[in-house]
Amino acid sequence: MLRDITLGQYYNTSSPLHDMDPRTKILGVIFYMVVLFMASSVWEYALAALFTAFVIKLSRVPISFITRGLKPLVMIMGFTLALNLLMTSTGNELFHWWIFRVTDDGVALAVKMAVRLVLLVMGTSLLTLTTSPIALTGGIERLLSPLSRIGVPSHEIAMMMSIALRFIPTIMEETDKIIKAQTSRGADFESGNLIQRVKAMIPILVPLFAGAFRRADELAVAMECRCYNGGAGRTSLRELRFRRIDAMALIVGVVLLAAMIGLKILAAGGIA
Amino acid sequence: MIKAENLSFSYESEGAEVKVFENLNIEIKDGEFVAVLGHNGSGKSTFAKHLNAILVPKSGKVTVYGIDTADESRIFELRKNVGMVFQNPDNQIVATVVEEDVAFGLENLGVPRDEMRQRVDEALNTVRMYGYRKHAPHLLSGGQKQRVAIAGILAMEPRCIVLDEPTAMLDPIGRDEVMETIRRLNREKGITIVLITHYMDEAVKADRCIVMDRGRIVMDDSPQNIFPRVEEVRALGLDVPQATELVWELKRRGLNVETGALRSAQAVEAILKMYENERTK
Ligand SMILES: Nc1ncnc2c1ncn2[C@@H]1O[C@H](COP(=O)(O)OP(=O)(O)OP(=O)(O)O)[C@@H](O)[C@H]1O
Ligand SMILES: [Mg+2]
Repeated sequence: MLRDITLGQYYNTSSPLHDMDPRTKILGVIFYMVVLFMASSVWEYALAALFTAFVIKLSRVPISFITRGLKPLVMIMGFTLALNLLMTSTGNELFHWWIFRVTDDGVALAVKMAVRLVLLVMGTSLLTLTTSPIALTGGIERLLSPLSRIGVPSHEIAMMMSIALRFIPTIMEETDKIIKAQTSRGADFESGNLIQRVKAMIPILVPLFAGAFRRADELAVAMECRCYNGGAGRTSLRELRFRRIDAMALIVGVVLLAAMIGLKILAAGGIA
Repeated sequence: MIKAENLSFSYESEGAEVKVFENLNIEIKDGEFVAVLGHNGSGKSTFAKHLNAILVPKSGKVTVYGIDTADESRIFELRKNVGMVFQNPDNQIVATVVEEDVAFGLENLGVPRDEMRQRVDEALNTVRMYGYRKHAPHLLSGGQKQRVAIAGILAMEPRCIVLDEPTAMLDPIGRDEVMETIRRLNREKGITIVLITHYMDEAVKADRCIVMDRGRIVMDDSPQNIFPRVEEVRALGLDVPQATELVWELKRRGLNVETGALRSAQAVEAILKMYENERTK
């Protein structure tokens, strides 16, 4: 179950998306999020979905790999769906049950929110799936570097993120192992009320945190042994180079944004 | 040359002082393959950490290739020359792609990109992991991860590599891969090896074994001279290689066999020779 979380994992293959400069992709994701939050009409969602599908295809990451990343979000999605369905009071009533009124507006909103969430997770996970954490670090560091003059620790932020990403699979594996170990000792994580379930998590969290601290300690020593000394004077194996593909990607992004705005104007024209 | 002179060290933990070394003296020559042995808590890891200034002496002095480890200004020069490989491969790999991890040390040293590329490829070739350069480390086997960690050190072109129980978490195949790599680095590149281990079958591959007990050096000799002293070695809480144990037991039971075998082939030879002698008598 925990292995299913693909967020933060790198999928190693070669594709136009993998070849892009990480800075382009980071900016692209920010752009993408803006576009998604702007979307409101069905056409705008369709455009965003089409674009997402196109980028996924371009990335050569198997679709099953990306959808697997959605599984852990089912809970959150269910919650948002329910909330939107039940709490929307405008629109025509579809049916009525106890104190709840389900309206057509509610259904539309719930579906849109769900689509938005799915697209958001799929689109953003593509960033880490197609960018190795070191490239990502490099990209973030470079994008933030103008801010280091005003005291933003750009290298440190980037390093912290990349280590977090590096250890996600390791810690996941460890969590799985601890869960199995505790289950085999008779621990029960599946039944009981909420409080009992939270309590059942303690025997997992304690060894997990103890292990994480030990790892952190050992990693720090290992990094020191390899002459790590912060960002000053560091070079990088990976070259950041803005290429044609990056220019193309940015143009596509601008076109997408323009299309989105165009759709909005059309919709506004329709109302007027 | 690595030299510890009157090295004393103690940990401070919760106000109490845990004394580890008192006036320890060791000399390790260039190109040597040294195994450091001793039961748990005898101070092996603490000693290893003194060789690249992760720890510095409370008193006394450690000099490594002419650099005093207490000299903060030369700490990177020191760490470039003395690489360190640890027990848990997962906790020493920083990057998510093999070649980027191997480059980590070089990036820290500010090596230019072209040279870095070349040194990373060379190091990966040396440990025979070049084919895996684009792989994610967490999907490799333990032995492969450990070889990647060695490559990361190797790329810095150290004169000495200190390995603290590098095979403790590996299966027999991984253990053989790592040992083979270490031996090759020592033989072919003349890199000084300090190998801390609990496996006596690994220790016999060294030129010299240093046995520690409660922070003191109690034996310092070639494996050929140390292991046949089975009772003494056992009294220090250590095993002896199986081959050594076998011939030693035979001798103890009254057979006229030559003791001193370290590897199984040598034990076989000794036993055959025993029969030969019986027959010709
Ligand atoms: N960080 C620390 N704080 C306090 N005491 C420590 C610390 N690290 C080690 N010690 C103590 O110092 C002594 C030597 O420990 P060291 O880790 O060097 O032994 P070791 O020979 O490497 O053992 P092992 O075979 O278990 O790895 C032990 O008594 C240990 O308890
Ligand atoms: Mg130790």
